[in-house]
Amino acid sequence: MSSPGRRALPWIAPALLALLAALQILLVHHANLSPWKGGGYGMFSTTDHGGFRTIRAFAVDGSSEQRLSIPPELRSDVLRALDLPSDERLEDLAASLARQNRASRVRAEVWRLKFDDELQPELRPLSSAESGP
Amino acid sequence: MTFDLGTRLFLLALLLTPPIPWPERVPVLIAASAGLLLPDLLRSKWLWTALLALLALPLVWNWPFSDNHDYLKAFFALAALCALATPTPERSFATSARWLIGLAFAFALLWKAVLSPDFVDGRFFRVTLLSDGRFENLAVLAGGATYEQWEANDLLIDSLLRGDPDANAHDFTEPSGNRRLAGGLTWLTLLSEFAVALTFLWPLGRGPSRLRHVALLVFAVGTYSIATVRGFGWLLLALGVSQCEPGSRRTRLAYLGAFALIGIYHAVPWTGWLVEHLGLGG
Repeated sequence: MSSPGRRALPWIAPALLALLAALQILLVHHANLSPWKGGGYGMFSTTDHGGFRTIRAFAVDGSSEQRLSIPPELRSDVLRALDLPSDERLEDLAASLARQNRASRVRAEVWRLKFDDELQPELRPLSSAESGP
Repeated sequence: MTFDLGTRLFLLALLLTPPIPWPERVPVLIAASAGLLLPDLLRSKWLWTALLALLALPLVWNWPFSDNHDYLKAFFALAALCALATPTPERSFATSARWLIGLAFAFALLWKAVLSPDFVDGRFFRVTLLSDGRFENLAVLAGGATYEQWEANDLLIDSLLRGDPDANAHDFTEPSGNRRLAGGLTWLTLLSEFAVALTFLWPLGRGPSRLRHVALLVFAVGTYSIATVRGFGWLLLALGVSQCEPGSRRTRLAYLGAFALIGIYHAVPWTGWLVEHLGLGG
């Protein structure tokens, strides 16, 4: 390896750390990634983490809606959707639930528990998506 | 500089806190044991290539859901591998390790001081003390909470997340001492992380950089006495000790002492013992 190449070697790992951390900030702000995840060192900085997020799913039939329970076998998908509730991930989850419940359409919603100055918790919607037609 | 000591501590930390899924755990345990038991292997590019693969591949297929210290472990292995490709591995690894610590703390500080909407005003610690099991004893010990209050808050949060119509957000209670404790923890955290970021990113051998070992040791000994994330603590100490000069025996011993202390914090439930001994907890 050339001398400049060798001189660069100690900087590779730190440069990747910085790059990943910058990408994580973008994902948090544009895709609702939990700041605790993604390699951006945002853990222990905010109450916005998977433990304070929840998923609700509804079978939608015309104007009526019925809340669905989420089976344990989808636990892994749910945990991932809580930390990164992208449209694609929620659509996949809604499609799985639609198949399991023989529903024509399912809407999956991610809500976040926020605390105000007096520590009163309140659920607020974060993201939602529907299974395809 | 102490490449060998830093990498040995890293391998020991891998042995003591291996990945949880067995297909990831077993090869990491074998590689880390081999590196510790066979001295010639410690500077083998094969060992660090294998460790890099074993630590980085799960990050790729789990991305972005791995914990932050899992990324730092992979960066450690990458830095070691890169260092072994240079004519001066100890110096090269010390440079990588210094920047890895400095940058990790700079981003942690950026999140807490700037990007997070609820850290500087104290809400993060106020809520965490009353809802994160790792902080329960501290909330009782120094924040005036009782275990009954803590469990009631925990149940309320569960009910709210489940969408229970009977859950009343106004039932979330905060004991009078919690706000003061949270305020103290907030500023201690900001100050200690600022000190580590500043001293590690400052040009080497000048001004604040001379205090970098002190800043990291104080942070590790203080933080991990409460937040028992021992794997992260050990990783930081392994990176820190890799930057010790050959003559700095006392600093190396301090790192080894801190490494042991973090293990003891994990093994001895001292906050629970204190609560019981002082008759607190309700």
